[in-house]
Amino acid sequence: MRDPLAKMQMRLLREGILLEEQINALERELDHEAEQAAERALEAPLPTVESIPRHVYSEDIDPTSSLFATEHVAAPGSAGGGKMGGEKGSAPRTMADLINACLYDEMSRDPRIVVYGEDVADASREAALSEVKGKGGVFKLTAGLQTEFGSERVFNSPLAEANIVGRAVGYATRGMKPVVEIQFFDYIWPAVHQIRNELALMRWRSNGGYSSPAVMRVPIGGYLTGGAIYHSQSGESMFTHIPGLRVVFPSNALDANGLLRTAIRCDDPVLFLEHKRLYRETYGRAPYPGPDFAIPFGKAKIVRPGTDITLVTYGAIVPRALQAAQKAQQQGVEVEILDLRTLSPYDWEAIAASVRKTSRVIVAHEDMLSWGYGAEIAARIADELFEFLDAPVRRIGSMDTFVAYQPLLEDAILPQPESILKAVLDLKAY
Amino acid sequence: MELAISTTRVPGPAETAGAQSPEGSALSHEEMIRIYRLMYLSRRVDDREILLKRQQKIFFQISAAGHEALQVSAALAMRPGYDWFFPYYRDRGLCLALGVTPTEMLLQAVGAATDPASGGRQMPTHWSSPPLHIVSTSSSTTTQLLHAVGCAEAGRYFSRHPEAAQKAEGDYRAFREVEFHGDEVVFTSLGEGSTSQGEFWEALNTASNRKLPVIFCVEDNGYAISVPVEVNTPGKHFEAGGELSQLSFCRGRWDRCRGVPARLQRSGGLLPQRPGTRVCAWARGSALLALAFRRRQAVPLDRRARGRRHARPSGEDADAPAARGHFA
Repeated sequence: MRDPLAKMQMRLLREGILLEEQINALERELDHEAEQAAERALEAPLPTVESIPRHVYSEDIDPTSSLFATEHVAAPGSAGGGKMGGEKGSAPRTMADLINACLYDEMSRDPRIVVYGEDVADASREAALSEVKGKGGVFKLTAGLQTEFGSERVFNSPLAEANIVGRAVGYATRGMKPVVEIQFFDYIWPAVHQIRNELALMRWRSNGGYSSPAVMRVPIGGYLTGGAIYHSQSGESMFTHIPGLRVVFPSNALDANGLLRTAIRCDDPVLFLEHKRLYRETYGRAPYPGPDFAIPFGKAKIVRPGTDITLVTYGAIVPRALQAAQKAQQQGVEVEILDLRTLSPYDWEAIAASVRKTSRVIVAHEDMLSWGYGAEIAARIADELFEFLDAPVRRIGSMDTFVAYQPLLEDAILPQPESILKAVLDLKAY
Repeated sequence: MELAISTTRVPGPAETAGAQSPEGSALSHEEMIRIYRLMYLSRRVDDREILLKRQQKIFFQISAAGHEALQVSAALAMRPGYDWFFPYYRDRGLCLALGVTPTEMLLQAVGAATDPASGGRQMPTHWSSPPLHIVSTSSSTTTQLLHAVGCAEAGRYFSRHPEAAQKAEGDYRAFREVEFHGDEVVFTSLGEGSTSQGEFWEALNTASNRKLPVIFCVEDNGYAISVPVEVNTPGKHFEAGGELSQLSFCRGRWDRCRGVPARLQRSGGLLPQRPGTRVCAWARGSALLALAFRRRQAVPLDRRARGRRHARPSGEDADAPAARGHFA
């Protein structure tokens, strides 16, 4: 007999700890206890269907709320305090600068934030810090954080993405705020199991008992000229398909600063996608907005008003759509460009209001066309705004392939201002 | 590795005080009876669930039968609501001993609104109890081990920076209660079959590297669902270091590595390089970890590929017949 129950029973008898009749009495008592428990459970009330959406996201903090609507309160450039406060703050800054500034300011404010990932520290060996400039991330987004906040709060992880996110779940369930980096979106896949089945699910599956509101900063996208397959991928729709996860995709420095602050201060897990091509572009630079500048999730921005066609987009397509819109204007077509800024949640009201006005709509993204983010938006427009439309809903996306290395191929695979312009003119002529 | 396998926390004097241990035994009679009660109750709740499943009153069942002794004794060495727990779906005895009641377990089995672990969302034996510090259980295997590692890191961080635990207004901290103890321990468990998962090794890697107070309890019932242990693991146990010696690890010069067949040493084998040079040009000047398969059946070359290799004329290959024994 290998059954531990039988072995233990024999031992109790052999050592004279219990007599046979005592064991029998004990077992009868426990049989009864199990039976009673089953009866109680069978009489218990069943959950209501209305309870289903509870705890998908935090019931305490709504990142779409006015708590995070300080966008128009903080005056860019004039803010005192913070990393770039004072005179220096008024110069235009890149997206990379303002993400770094946000991390710095939030870490100053909140001692529960830890930053880790591959190569994010300035120097793993602290002694070297006085001699070297330091790494601070392959794109330098975390530069200077370890030097300022110490190696306990900013450190390098092993080269293992599931490790990064899995540990973040553990940190966050204890009330800390891990703000981790996956070095490239192309390498996020080992962590996806943790993201989908654990991080995003923790709150709902425990009915609010636990949650893991970590922030994952992930450089994404192509247009790098030579980034090739494994440094150019998009794929955001795979993550917007995950309940419980917020997905953010800013197109400019100011939005990145304000949305990252909301991501950190809110109570939900957030995938914060940073387009690599936009990190240091001239487009979208902005003065430092101060240490409390926040933008609520789910609020699109009209980056160009227009009357003829609505173009719904985000990320690196925003500057490309602006170029296309300028050329369309020369041909008498006024395009209204909506930058969604956050993909989950997304601003349906803004989309609907614009489509009601223009009656023509294109959804454009850098990710592959088929099964992409635009499919859901286009389907909902067709479903709910059908009577306002004067033309079919159009989509623009990359070819259904990975992104090739040779620039000639990359240019053909990814959407370009020219292809956007063509779609605009075609739709106007419909 | 800085890792103790199969050791449990020794209870401190305060925890054992009052326990009257009989001669030659670490456990008092009361403790022995308590252990039997919990083991027996665990089995009976399993039996009750199996019955309810047959009656179609519950919809899933996962048994802990056979695991009770390990689970109950593990739980009794820990402090519920003080230490932290990342169990797996077979840990009924553990959770019962930590303080989850049979009624609570069965509320989850029937999918009741009042199921305290998940409100009817998770199948039975998917534990979650904030008061007991049992963190919500997944059905995925070994994901919880990395959570345990992060949990231990957070506990250490709060212990060193208690000011960070203070509440603050205006963000998530207003709603996040923080508890920590300087001597808290994190317990996580898994089945033996799950030691094949990469995240098992990822968690061991970080826990040992950062010297974290995490106990990894591997419950070995000889099977991964239905697949016997020998399919999953070299030898009988994952921790049997001797069995892992089928891989020989060496660092430094390839041609001086023990276990590397002489033919490979001289020819450079699978890698295009001359004898005496470092194995990988791109690793020049750095320490190098090379793996060589010592046992013939472990060599990842099929017969056809092997034939082609041998057919290729090579002065280096031709004078190394003895070394071929490693491949034949």
